[in-house]
Amino acid sequence: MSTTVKNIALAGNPNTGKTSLFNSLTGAKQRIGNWPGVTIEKKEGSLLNHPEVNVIDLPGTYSLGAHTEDEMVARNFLLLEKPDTVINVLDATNLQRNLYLTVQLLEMGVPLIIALNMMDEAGKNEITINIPKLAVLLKTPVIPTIARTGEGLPELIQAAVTPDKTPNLRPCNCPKQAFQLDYGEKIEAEIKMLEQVIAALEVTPASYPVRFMALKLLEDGEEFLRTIHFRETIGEAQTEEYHKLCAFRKQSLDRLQKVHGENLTTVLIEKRYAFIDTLLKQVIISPDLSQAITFSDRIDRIALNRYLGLPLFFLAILLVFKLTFTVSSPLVGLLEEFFTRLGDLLAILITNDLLASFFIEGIIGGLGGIIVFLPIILCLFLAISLLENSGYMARGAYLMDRYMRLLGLEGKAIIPLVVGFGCNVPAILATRTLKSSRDRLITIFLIPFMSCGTRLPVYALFTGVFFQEHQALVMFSLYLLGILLAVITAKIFGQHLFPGETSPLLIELPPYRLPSLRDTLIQMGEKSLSFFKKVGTIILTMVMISWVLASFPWGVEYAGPESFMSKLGALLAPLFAPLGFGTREAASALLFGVVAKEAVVSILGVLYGTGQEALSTVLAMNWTALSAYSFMVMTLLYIPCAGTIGAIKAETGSWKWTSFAVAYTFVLAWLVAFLVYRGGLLLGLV
Amino acid sequence: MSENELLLASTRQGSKVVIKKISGGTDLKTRLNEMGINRGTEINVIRNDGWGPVLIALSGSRIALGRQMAGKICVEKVAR
Repeated sequence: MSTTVKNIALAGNPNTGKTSLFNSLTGAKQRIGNWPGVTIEKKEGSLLNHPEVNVIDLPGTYSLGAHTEDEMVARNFLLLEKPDTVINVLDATNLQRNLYLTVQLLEMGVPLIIALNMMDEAGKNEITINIPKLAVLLKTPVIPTIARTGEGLPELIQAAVTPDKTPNLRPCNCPKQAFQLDYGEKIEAEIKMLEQVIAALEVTPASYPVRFMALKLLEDGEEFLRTIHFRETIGEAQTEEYHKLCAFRKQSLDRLQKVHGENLTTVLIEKRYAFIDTLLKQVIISPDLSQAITFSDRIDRIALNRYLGLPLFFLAILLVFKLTFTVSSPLVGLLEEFFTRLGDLLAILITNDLLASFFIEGIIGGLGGIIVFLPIILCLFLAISLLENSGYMARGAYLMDRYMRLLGLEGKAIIPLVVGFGCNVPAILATRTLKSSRDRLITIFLIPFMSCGTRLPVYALFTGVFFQEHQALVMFSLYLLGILLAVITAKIFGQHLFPGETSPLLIELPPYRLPSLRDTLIQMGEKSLSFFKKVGTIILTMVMISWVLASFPWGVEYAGPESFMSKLGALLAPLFAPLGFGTREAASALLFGVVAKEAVVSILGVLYGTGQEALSTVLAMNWTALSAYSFMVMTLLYIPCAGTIGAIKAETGSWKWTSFAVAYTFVLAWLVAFLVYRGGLLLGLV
Repeated sequence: MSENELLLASTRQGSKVVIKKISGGTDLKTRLNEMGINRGTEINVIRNDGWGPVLIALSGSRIALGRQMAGKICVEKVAR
């Protein structure tokens, strides 16, 4: 009987070259989504030359426990989706720790193939591994690979799709052959006892080995039971059995506690490591690396230096910023030019005014508004992939940890925040480098307060009229205000909205590596593409709505005083009266600014009927310095632009959080502008 | 703690120590254990600035631990 393999999952520690191997196995055709319920990226693709086989890249983890989101995602996938083959990617230079995950996979009874990766680096480090013996001891096929060069891949694919022909590959439902680790007399006795209880209660879903169930019940307890019963529901009768199992577990734990006097989990982990150590002694010859000073260590003497480390890291962020915005800017200009030309062309071709306006302002305006992000996002992901794939990102996390921890965030959060000063949209995408959902969400909420480039024209206009002598100072104060509110928001959200501690820093600093061009390009391309799919519709919808509001009743000047937009502005104006700018013009401009903040300036020009040049004179007559400052505060803080809203929705995957971000920023902006204006009046400023 | 024992957070940069005991929550302990930081494991302290995370070498790999975490790991100096 031959098994048809439809799903292959890739499991492995972080930094084992798992993603690189995934790229080799699937080529450039990948789909990026989210794992259900969490903001962790899910990557899938079809196996090369086997389009019917789906390959899933599980998050890189050290274990299959339930201690981090990544681990839970990986474990639940293996338990509930039951892939036909699991490829466990190991870093051959670091077998001791890598094999810990392997042991867990073996205990789970999944059909496993080991890809012993980075064989070239193992060779360089003079590590010799007896591969056939390793395969025999683990009762699992082991295939040496070098993901970067593709060496060993044909063999790996062959083994993965034809498990029946591969020696040592067991289908998961043969418990007799199953890998078994001896935990010692006392623990084994409890495992046997629980096995009997589980068998007697007939709650074992047939596809899990009983021993594995017993072990996991002992180790993870109720959490594990909930996971497997999530799918394998047996109805009401189960609750009683569930409690029985929990009770038996408790008794076992109590007995073992007396014997070991140590947390059982620790004992189990130590037993597994002891097994691995014994195993390695038989298969590996390696020089003592514990005292070795590697090439990476030498770089780190400078890169992590007490004085130089931080300036160097800021230099790196500055380069990311430059690469994202400066390198992309000629392309952005070109695209903008293209869309303007296209609009001009359509204006000639389409004679019907309504249709012309619909296509030019609506469709072209909307598409243009999306596509101009393309070069920016491509460049951002290029920069971030380079940082991540070279190994430097982990250093940044280490360096910034001590500072960002004050905000209750992990060190890497600094990168999206800095990118936010250029544009909030790529900044929100950059939060993907953060590990925990909690930190990602908080950082996403902080980003809109980073004053991006599109808000500058508004500041430039008003400071140019009212604060000519202190233009730079006033602008600087706005940037600072944004940062201050971000800090306050981080504190409040961290303590109240997302209680619980930031997960403490525990990361591996991988050796520095030259990033592979292919992996970087794939990462860049796929991430950008998935962004446009998700964000495009939102931006387009908002542009359409604003087009309707600005062009109707048909025949009025676009966004002019007679348009719906302006009428809506008049309706909303009283809301802004306490802030010093309760006018139809200001309210309409803010309304339009939700689509893109730089539009605030042009709409003011249209509504005051002056165009850009004379706008300064009109503003000077109708506004005061105080109301102008209050308006700038409002522009800085209120509702993020369409692109940012789209990005928030795409990255949080939730309309609830997106609406929350919109509401929170608006209320906060109103309150701060109110305080500024009223406070200023009290102080006698005008 | 005996005379030779101290917390990882207060070790000197460059010293070689062996893990004696990890206190603190089960979650934290488990994560450390699973990464190979167990009782009896020998590690080298690569960087400890006196504040911020501690960087250690564990066989071939380099691992950064938050300071709080390093304050819960009891180690013993190994004579060179």
